[in-house]
Amino acid sequence: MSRIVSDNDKCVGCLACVVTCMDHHFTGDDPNAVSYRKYKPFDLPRGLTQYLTESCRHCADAPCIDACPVGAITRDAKGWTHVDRDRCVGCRACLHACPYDSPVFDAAGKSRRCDGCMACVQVCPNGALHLE
Amino acid sequence: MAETKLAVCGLCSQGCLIDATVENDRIVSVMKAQNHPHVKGALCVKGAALKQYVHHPDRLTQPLKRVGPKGSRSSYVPVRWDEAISAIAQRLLRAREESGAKSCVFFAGHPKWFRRALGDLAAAYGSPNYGSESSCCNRAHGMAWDLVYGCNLRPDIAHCRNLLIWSNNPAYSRDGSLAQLRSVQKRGGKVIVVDPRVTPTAAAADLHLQIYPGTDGALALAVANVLIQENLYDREFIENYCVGFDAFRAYAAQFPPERTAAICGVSEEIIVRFAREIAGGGLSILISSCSIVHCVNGVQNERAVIMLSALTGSFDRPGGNCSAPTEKAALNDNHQKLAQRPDIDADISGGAYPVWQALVNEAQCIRLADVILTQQPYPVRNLISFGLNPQMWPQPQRMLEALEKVEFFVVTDLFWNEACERADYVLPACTAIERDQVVLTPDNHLFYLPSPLTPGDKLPDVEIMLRLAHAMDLHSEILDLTDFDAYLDYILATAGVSLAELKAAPEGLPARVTKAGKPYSYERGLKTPSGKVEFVSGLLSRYDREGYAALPEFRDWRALAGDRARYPFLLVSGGRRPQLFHSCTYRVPWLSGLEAHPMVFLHPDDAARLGLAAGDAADVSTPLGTMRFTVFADIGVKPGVVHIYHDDPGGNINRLIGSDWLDPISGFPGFRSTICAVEKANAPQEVDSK
Repeated sequence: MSRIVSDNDKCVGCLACVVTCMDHHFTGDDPNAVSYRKYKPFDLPRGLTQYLTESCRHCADAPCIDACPVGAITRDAKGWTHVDRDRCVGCRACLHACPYDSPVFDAAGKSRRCDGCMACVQVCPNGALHLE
Repeated sequence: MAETKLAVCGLCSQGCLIDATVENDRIVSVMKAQNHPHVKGALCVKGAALKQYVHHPDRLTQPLKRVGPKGSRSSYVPVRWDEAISAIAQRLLRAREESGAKSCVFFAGHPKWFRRALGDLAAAYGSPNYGSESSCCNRAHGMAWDLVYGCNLRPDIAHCRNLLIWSNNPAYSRDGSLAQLRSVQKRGGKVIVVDPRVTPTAAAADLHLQIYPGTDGALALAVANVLIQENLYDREFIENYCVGFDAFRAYAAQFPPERTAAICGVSEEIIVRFAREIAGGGLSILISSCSIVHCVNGVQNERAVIMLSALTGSFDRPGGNCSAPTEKAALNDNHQKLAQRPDIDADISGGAYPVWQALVNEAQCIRLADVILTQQPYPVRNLISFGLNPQMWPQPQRMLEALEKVEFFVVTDLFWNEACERADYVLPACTAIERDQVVLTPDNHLFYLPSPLTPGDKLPDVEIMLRLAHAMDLHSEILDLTDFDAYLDYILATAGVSLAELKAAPEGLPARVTKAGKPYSYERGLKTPSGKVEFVSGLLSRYDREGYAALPEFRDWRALAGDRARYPFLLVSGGRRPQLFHSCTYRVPWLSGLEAHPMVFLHPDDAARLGLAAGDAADVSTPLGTMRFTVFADIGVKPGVVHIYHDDPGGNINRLIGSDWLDPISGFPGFRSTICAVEKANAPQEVDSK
């Protein structure tokens, strides 16, 4: 598989991965800057409410590819799925098709997703992220 | 073409080393430094947004002079550096003749690296009034250590048997790593965390005592009591190297576990277990600079906590808080080693904090707004500041008022802000990555890191201080240096390397001068009045003042705080969020946009009882007013306690914290010991604070 996964037992919710993702894909003044890593708070069994993060799983059987009405989503030889931003019409069909609520959208409404650049894996201070 | 260079982040005080990719004088991206010999890089969420910080549209790019009324950006026009320096110098020299040197206050905010030069400038000018944000940050913590031990020693975590982390959450306040904690656990040591919140650090500990805020002293006394009752303390150390133990034992006996459990909101069993775990020595205590001391009984509480080091026989022995006998090099830039202030008794504190004056070589500035507004103990006419943030003070609106009133005010800063709006001159400083750096690694290797960015018309703070000193003909070893390069050469001298040779060595150079720490200092005599570890303080016993007990008295702040029925919640401000660093990162969109803010953190049960859920609006009140916050329901918050991060430009909780609610020993505000009420915000209403 080609995906970046989080070991939630190691994650401290510091969000370094979330902002590093933006730093490595956008200029500081880009209005379309968005992190490809989503985060939300969870009540964890270890007794606190903390952010956990995730990004596109690049599923083997990715329903978003078929759902896209304009064929903007493709898969490369290594298994990573990509959205052609120029072709994306912002209809959010990919989001509706995704069982994991993964696609993110920039300010122009275009679908975006993790491209496997590994910046988040490198920055994580607790080794919680890895390539699977 | 884009180039990647080793650089210092410098956004907070940690000085993490990063790889900065730069093109056309702009940061393209950053990553923790990797694959450099001698360097262990780190990058947190804040540093990850460094380019938005450094290239922010609010950055100051040239010196400005006020030509119209205060309060308006249009009142400021660019001015040449030499013109600004000359005008400021002339003004200060004239004021010294007219009103004496003490009428000028020199103030340092964040960061800390330039403070020796500013201390020299104030001393050479003749003013005792050098002060800093340490008036509410780190100095009270140091005072507690000085009172008990005559020194402040770091935990020797690499060799400790057990690690006690008291109200510190490195997962959010440092680089996010829990590796240090895990390394202790891996070798079989226990990690004990005391914290009112379940933080990621507390959740990773072997034992977490979730106490009510500000009850630290009671817990420490109870643990001491168990150690003594069960004969688990280091009797030999106590008999030979300590004074006041019998009185301390009698006082600690007033804190049996069952009584203390109720005070602190933890179980009796966990107090006893805590004591038994730490017995036997090798205890390292890691305390954050200000979490215990942001309480009206803060210094006393911290004294009780750190006495656990002596009781367990850990003090200044390997594995304890210790001058570890490791060879270390040092740069000559210790920001706590300041020039001796002239005329200390005449500083603006007006004798209100005599123990501070005895122990801390800077003026306690927490009442600076009152001093300016009331002209007591005397008029302050001039204020020269480097990074002054009015929002730091409790009731910051008083500070803003004072800045409008002060006759002459110079601001050096990175950004245009509300202090600049009230200044006569505004001077633009370089960020850490915009100035040349010399760096000393933990393995005693030195690097020269030229800035990968051109600074334009901005200057390193020290260069500004040197130019002011030269213009006023003020002298000291540092002030006599010609320029910033000479300053870098000066701070390298203690490591035995010159700047010229370091510049010629791209791979860096090993330091040529190192010194090893000397543990067991108690055998040679400590810098306390008795020369011993003081359970009963010789210095405090000289004063007959409320709160100045010679024993580490636990005064329960909740009993002093006022109407608990009207204000039933305990408010802690300042507990860390990973993306925030005081006021510094609110203006960075990628960081301020991560969460709604300002936010109030409540236990979900408390929230539910008040009819609140995550995302709702809640009104938080103290006798000073009411402010509105967005609710974050966190199961890690102790019921009855609320947490709010400070300095938010959309609503700074400091407005609701009293400027008179201070620790009588240190002058530190009760930022983490204030009572409040929380209510559901039912309808849009006028919400304001006085």
